[in-house]
Parts: sequence; structure tokens; C-alpha cells
Amino acid sequence: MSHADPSDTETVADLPPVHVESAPRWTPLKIALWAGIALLGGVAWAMLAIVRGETVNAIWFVFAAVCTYLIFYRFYSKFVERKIARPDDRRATPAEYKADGKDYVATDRRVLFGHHFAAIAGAGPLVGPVLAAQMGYLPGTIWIIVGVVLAGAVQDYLVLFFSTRRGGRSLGQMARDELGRVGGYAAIVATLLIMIIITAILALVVVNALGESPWGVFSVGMTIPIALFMGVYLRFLRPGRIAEVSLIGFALLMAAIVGGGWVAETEWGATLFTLDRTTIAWGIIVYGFIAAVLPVWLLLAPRDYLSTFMKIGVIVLLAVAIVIVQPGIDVPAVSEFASRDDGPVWGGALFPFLFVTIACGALSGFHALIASGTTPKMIEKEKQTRFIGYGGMLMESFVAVMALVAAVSIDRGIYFAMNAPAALTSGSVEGAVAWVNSLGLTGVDLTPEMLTTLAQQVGEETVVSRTGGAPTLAVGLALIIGQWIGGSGMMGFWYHFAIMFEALFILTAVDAGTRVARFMLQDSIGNVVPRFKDTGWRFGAWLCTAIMVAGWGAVLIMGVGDPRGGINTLFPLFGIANQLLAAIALAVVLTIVARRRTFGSLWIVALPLAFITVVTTVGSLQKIFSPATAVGYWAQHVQFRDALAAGETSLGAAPDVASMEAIVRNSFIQTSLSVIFLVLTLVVIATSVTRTVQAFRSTEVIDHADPTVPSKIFAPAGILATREEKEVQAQWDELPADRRPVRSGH
Amino acid sequence: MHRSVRGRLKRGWSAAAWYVRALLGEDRYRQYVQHQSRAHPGSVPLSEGDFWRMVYREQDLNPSGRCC
Repeated sequence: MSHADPSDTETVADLPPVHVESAPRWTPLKIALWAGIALLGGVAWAMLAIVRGETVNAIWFVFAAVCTYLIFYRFYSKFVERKIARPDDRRATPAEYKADGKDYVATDRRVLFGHHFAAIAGAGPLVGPVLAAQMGYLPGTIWIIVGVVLAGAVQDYLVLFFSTRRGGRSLGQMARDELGRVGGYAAIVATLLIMIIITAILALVVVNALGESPWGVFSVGMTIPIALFMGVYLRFLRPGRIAEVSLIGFALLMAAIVGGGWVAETEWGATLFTLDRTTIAWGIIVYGFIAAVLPVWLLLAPRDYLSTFMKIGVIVLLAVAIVIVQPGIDVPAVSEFASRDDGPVWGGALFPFLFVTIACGALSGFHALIASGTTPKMIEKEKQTRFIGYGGMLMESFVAVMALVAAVSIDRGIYFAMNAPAALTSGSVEGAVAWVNSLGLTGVDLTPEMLTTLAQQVGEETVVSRTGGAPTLAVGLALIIGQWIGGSGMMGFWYHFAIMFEALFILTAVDAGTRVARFMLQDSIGNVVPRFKDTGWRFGAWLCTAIMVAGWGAVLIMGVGDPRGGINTLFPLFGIANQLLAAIALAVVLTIVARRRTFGSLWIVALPLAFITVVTTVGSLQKIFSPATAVGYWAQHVQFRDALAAGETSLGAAPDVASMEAIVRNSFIQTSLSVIFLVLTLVVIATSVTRTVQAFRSTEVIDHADPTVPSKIFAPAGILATREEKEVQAQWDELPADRRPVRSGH
Repeated sequence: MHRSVRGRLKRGWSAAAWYVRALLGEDRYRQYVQHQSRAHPGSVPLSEGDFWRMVYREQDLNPSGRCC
């Protein structure tokens, strides 16, 4: 490893400076501004946590979140930067020293922020908070906001920074470098399994949203021909006109939503597009295989453009709508289910399961894969990693807060009628009303009219037992945006607009996830059978794609066929998997920090790592060993196996022997997965802790960073340039055009 | 006054258009040509159609995940 003295690279051949130290100047105005932000944030938290009037104005959620983000971004992330990352803008980033005009391209920080955000944000932050609303609004809100500033954003920032220092190396490669072979392999196996689980459960969310919904099936189905058209347009008609084709695609998408409403009203449309969940699940499996073997230009790339377009648009729309409409929240801050472990939406107690149910939005391990993927190859200056990594994650957290607001602005009776499995509500309006009212929840008085009116307004056959979070979010969003634009007459449109964009994000994730998993599998098999390393080999590619699709397809079918409703039992597994990946990412970061011998600040990483290790370990242990059948997979397995052995023909949610056998089978697989997750976590954590202790005893600095290359470009670090940065920028702008560096977005 | 409002709207619109285009990656070809001419002077860069073909072929071979 070369460790050039930074002073060697201080000045580069008569170019203006490439780095600026901006010292903050504390003017009275600035002090007053930050005091004001702190005060407003404090008041907002007090309104949510202590005052808790009959009805809480949703604007307090926005203030609590934004003020906390601002303060932690300004002070805590800066502290992490100074203590751990220690960026040096005199060092070139991979985008500069590996520049190839294609993958490694220095990109404007504001553009890269949007790019990174679009890659990390998907359906996750929209679904998790909706499900977590069963415990009331407060536990979820606290975890989303506190979790992100202390854990999620720290993880994203540091993984991005260290990957940038390592030439854009992936998390798997960094795990091998830092944790050695065993830790590295454990990380790769965990990533592969997590890909399978996450893909399956995201697909389950779409299946549940589209089941028995001709409008939804038609409009989401139309995204496929629209994407194909865009792909052909870009390849043969007008290459490179991405904004133009995205606008056309967006217009077609809106037409598909409106058209879906008409088609669903016709007799032929209703017959053709009313599909049961099993059929849709098989449709997604077949689609997933085809989409993953088709060339990227035809389907994935165009849908990616649409999805980026929609992501930014919808989030701005929802934020503006919440601020304008300011819905009143009368859900209790902490609900009856917060102290129980048998909630109807998902099983398990607040600790640890709230912290796995809300993953994306607070802390999401999956982001570590993105932060060590394309983003580090495009970053212009090391100091920008704070804005993009930490700041990007704050933005995703804000999306989660808005999803939570949308979910809790719905009547609580309706919320439980929508999110409880059909085994509890019997799937009928009367059954749902009787069951919800029997719960004895305060302030809940559900009537059949409430459910039928709502179903009619959003253009659905029924809203009972539409589990998975997506339909609930869509109802919340339709209620909020509908109050602003279009009233109740447009609720059907907004509902299906929400379903459409969630499905769009998820289908892109399914397709991309299958591809990534296929390459990882080919690489692993390639160690034994070298031919598989050749990714251009058609047979190997198809076989590995089929294996990965079969993997997530099996979990999906298991979820669809589960009599207790797949979300209730499978969602915790999804969360545990994602948080396990976070534990791995933080363990890798911990080892890197320890080996750089910056021990004084190790707690910044150790704190979230310890917390998430306890959460995933306790969660997995409960899933394996808990005697409560609402929580423990093995307890469920034994209960149903014994019942079958005793000759019983129905038990609990299972009305017949076939359903009972399904539960026996599913709970066995779920137990096995929990065991694997637990073992992998412990292997990785143990390796990481060993390496950290070794680093503490030794005196040697181990840093796998790429050798220092002096930088010859300049760019400001944050969203707004400081005064010093503007002065330096002006010097660069005066250079003749042929001496200015090649940068994207300028 | 009237003119400055229009000027501001115009600037705002072109900034938004710049952002959307850059976000979707529309200027990647221009940038590639610029890079080629600097790093490999004298070489003939690919045509726009061929450039995008190459970009998508590389994406086929180096997939990147999307988060949940």
C-alpha cells in the first residue's frame, strides 16, 4: 500500500486548487437559524410524543423529521466525517483516475444524489412503515428518524466512502479483503439468500395488490408493452433521447391507469383481467425469468427510466400534498398491539420485530450493495460522499415517514380490515366488520358501509384483507392527494397511480435482483466448474437464471398459498434478512475503521452494529425457539404436525388437511432459513470482532485503499457551494475549455 | 420587473430540464466523445447509436441491483 504524503500533491501543475477547507463562520444569524431549527424540531417531537392530542396534525411529523435530519446532517455527519472518514479532496476519486467515459465518470454531485437516491429507494420504505403502523404511530416514527441518523445514514455514508477509496470495490470484495475467506464467503452466501428472500417478498406485495383487481392487472400489465416500445424507440428510432422517451412513456402510463378504469368496467375486461393470486404469482415468475434473460435495452433500461421519473415525481407530490392538506391523525401514539406479540398484521413483539419490519427508511443493508456499486464510480470528490451517502439516506427516511403518515391517516378500523389475513376476516365485509369490532380497540367503530364505500371509491371489488402494505398506502395516498386534487371522484385514479408506481419499482427490483443473483451464482459455481464463469455462455446463464427464479418463486408460491396470509409470517423474515446484511456491512466498516487505527471513534460504527446484531439475533432466535405459535416458526411446525398426526382435519387458520400440510412445510423452510441467517450473522460478526481486537493489539495500519493519485479536478462538497468554494470554482471556470476536466452534467 | 420574472422562470425551467436530462443520463454520449478526444486523441469515437448499444451490452454483463 502506498501512503503518499498528502503534501506531495498539494499543488498540481499550475491548476487552481483542487480542495478547499471551508471553516464555518458562526454569525449571530446562523446561530439563531440553528436554534430555531432545534426549537421547531423539539416542539414537533413534543407534539407527537407528549402532547398527543385527540388528533395530531400530520405537519408535526414533517417538522420532527426535517429538523432532526438537518441537525444531524449538519453536526453528526460532519463529526463522522472528521473522526472516521477523513476525506481528502487532493486525492483523485475512481471517477477521475479510472475515467473511461462510460462507467467511471465524474458526475455533478446534485445529479449523482438523484441517481443514488433512485437506486436505493423503492417499495421498501413505502411498505414497512405501513405494516409497522399496527403498533401506533410513535414507535415507527422514532425508529425511522432516530435509526436513520445514527445507523442507516452512517452505514450508507461509510460504505460509500470506503468503496470510493477502494476504486469502487463491491461489498463482497471488501468483506473478503477485511474479513478473510470465511467471513467473505459468509457475506456472499448471505447476500445471495437475501436477494432471494427480498425478491420473493416484494413480488408477494405486488401479487397481493393485484389479486382480484382487473384495473390493477390491466394498468400494471401495460407497463410491459410501454417499456418495450420505449426500448425499441431508443434503440432504433432516436438513440440517446432518454428524457423525450421517458415523457412519452409517462404519458402512456397515465393513459394506462385511466384506461384500466374503463376496461375494468366492461364485462370482457373484468373477465379477462380478474385473476386470482396464484395465477398472478405464476405470471410474475414467468415474467421474472423472461425479463432477466432479455437484453437490458429492451425492458430493464426503459423501465428504469420510467421508475426514476416516477420516484422523484411521486415523492415531491406526496410531500407537497401532506404539507397542503395536513391530514389529522387520530390513531393512538402507541396502540394495544405494541405490548403484544400476536398482532394481526405481523406476529412478534415490538422488540425486536419493529426494527426489522421497518428496514428501508431507518437502516437497510441492501443499500450497502448500491453504495458499493455504481455510485462510488461516479463521485467527483471524496468530500461529496457525505452529501450523497448520508444525505441520500435521509431523503429515503423522509419517504418512509410520509408512508407512515399516509397509513395512519386512514381510519384504524379500515386499516385492520385491510391488513389482517383472510383467515381472520373471512375475506368478507361482514366478517371483517365483526372481527375488527370484536378487537375492542379504542375509537374504532367499523361499519360495512365504510368498507364498501371505500372499495367503490378506489374502484376495487373489495378492500378486505388486502395485505402487503401496498393497497393501504395507496388508500392513504388517494385520501391525501384526493383532498388536494380531484376530490373523491379522482380517488380511483390516485389509488391505482400508487399501485402502479409501487409495482413498477418492485418489478424493476425483481428483474435486476434476479440478474445480480444469477451472476453471483455463476461466479460461485465457476469456482468448481470453470465454464460457468463465462457469463456470455447462454446455457449457463439460462440455467443459473432458472435456479434463482425457482428460488424466489418457491418462496413466493409458499407465501401466496399460506392460509395465514404470506405477509404475516414472511415479512419478518424479509426484515431479518435485510438487517443481517446491514450487520455484515457495518461489520466490514468496523474492521476497516479499526485497521486504520482510528479507535477513538469506533463507537460511531460499533453502536449501530451492536444494536442491529442484537435485533437480528434475538429476532432469529425467537423465530426458531419461541413457544408462541404467533411468533415461532418451529412452534407452528410442531403444532400443525402433531395435529395432523392426531388425525385432526382443521386447525386455526387452516380449514383443511392440505392447508395444514402447507403450514407444516412452510414453517419448516422458514425455520431452516432463520437458522442459516443466524449462523451467517454470527460468523461474520465473530470474524469482524476478532479482526478488530487484533487491530487493537497490533500497531500496524492496514488499509486496503487504492494508492493515492493526485486530483486535478475541483467541485464543491455539499448541495450549496460555500463562499470559498465559489471563489475556487470561479478560477476553474476561467481556464480555457480544453484544460477544464471532463465532467458529467456540466 | 415583468421581464425579470420571465427571465427567472426561463432559468428555472432550463435548470429543471438540465437536471432531468442529466439524471436520466442523456449527456453520456457527449461526455464519452469528450473523454475519447482527450484521452485517445486521433481515435474515431463510436456513433451515438453504437455508443448506446455498447452501454447496454455492458449493463447486460455487469448488472447492478435496485433496492427494495
